[in-house]
Amino acid sequence: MQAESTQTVTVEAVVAALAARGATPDMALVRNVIAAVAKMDRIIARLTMAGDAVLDDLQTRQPDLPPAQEQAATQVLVRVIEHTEALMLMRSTIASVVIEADDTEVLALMETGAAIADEILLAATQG
Amino acid sequence: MSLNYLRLDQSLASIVDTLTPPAVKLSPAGLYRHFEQRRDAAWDRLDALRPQAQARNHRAVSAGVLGNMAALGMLSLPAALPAAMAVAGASTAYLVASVVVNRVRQLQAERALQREEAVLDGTDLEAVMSAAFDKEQRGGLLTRLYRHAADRVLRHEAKTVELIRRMDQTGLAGPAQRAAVTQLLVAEVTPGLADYLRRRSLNKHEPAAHLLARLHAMPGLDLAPLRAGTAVPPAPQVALPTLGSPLDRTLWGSPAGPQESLLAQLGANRRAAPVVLMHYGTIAAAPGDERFLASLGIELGPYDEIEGTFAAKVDAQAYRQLQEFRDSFALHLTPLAEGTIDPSSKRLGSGLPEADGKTLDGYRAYLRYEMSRAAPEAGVAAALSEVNREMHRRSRVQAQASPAPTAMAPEL
Repeated sequence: MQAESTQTVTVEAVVAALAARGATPDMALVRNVIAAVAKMDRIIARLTMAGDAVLDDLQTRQPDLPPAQEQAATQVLVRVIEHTEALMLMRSTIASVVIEADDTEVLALMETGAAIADEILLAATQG
Repeated sequence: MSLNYLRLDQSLASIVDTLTPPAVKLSPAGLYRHFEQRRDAAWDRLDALRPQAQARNHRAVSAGVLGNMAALGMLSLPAALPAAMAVAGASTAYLVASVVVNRVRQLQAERALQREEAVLDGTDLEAVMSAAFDKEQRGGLLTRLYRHAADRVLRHEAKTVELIRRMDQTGLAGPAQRAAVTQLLVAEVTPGLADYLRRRSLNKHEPAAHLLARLHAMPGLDLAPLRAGTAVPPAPQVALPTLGSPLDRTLWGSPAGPQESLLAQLGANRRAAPVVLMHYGTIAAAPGDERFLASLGIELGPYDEIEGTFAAKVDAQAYRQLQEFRDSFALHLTPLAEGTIDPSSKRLGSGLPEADGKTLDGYRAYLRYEMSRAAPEAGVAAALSEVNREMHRRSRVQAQASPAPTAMAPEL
């Protein structure tokens, strides 16, 4: 699902973004950007798989799901949505070389997103 | 598999608490907005280093090359929600998630209904369920979440129901009905609604399918006037139930040529319309909705604290968008054809005595809007006074021309 809404970031695109601001293309920087974006893509894909797992489970269990469980399920989806969106935003920003790929908060966001996805997928597997 | 969401939610809360930096966690804006603000600040820093024109160009080039998040993000649309529509005290992510959970519940009910119908009809149950499964799997989480949330937020379903109702109420038949329906579609079908109709017409229980069925019932629908106009960007192609009839092909586009889509061309036709209406008047809203309304392209005048309204000038495109939110805002807007007024003198081009009633109403609304502004231009007050006098004169003439009311016979 992300694949259809997220444009591929290529070396040429990053170089073009740098050139647009008049900066000399630094290939080490470009490689870092491409690597960070690829990693974010993987995390986003995992997060959306986790969201799908929640939706599949909800479809199976409704309308018998207790309200408290449904409320908690909504909160779980909120975490998925927030982190997916924030990651997509930062993906675009890093690809534009506006924020650095090794920004501390972005790295923490990636780590949190990955951990959230892992936790949900693990719970879905273990039941 | 049966997830314990209470336990899972606690685990996730703990993960977020541990891994999220304090600056992000404590940000009153929330996670998404925090990063949005960081992005904006980073752009501002970059822009400060170069001349303004070059900075604008840089942003545009980057957006063009790398994609604009506003077009990608799931939260970008609901983030623009007016306060009246938002869940009190909740984040936009919460709103989207709530819509999604409700949608899942609805899908469950739809599947049960399809199962029952299949049994009653003696249809191949497995084929029905397989088709339903395929439909639900199409897209994926973000596509499903975002599209459905957008449909709900923009009231596409309600608007479709309203279109069917208005088609029923034309009270016409034959060519007159076809002309009226064509006119209705031209006026009401926005690109977003067209996309909704394309996606949702697969399910026979949906209003989108009902609307299509109604259009199918008018085989002679004259589409020639709608094919006029310039080409518009083709709408995204989706799998469709049938592309057999000419109407199908025209509505949804042939597989080879989505640019033939009627609904896409309606947009072009609307843009090519000779008369462009501006609307003037007031919009009842909370003061905090100012940014949202402005984002629709509405020019706002000062806020009236007592009435709870903004003075507003709304162009044709903004007016169409505003219609999507008409349940949230009470609109008191009067149309006026663009070009009716001489921009320098602020007077009607045709002169007051020749103007019809609608034009006069629109002109007065325009002048009142102009008067509400901090520094109205010279001549506006005098023009408004003249319009009021003219309207008063006409109402007096009308009263004299009407027969005096006769005494009602007391009821027996």
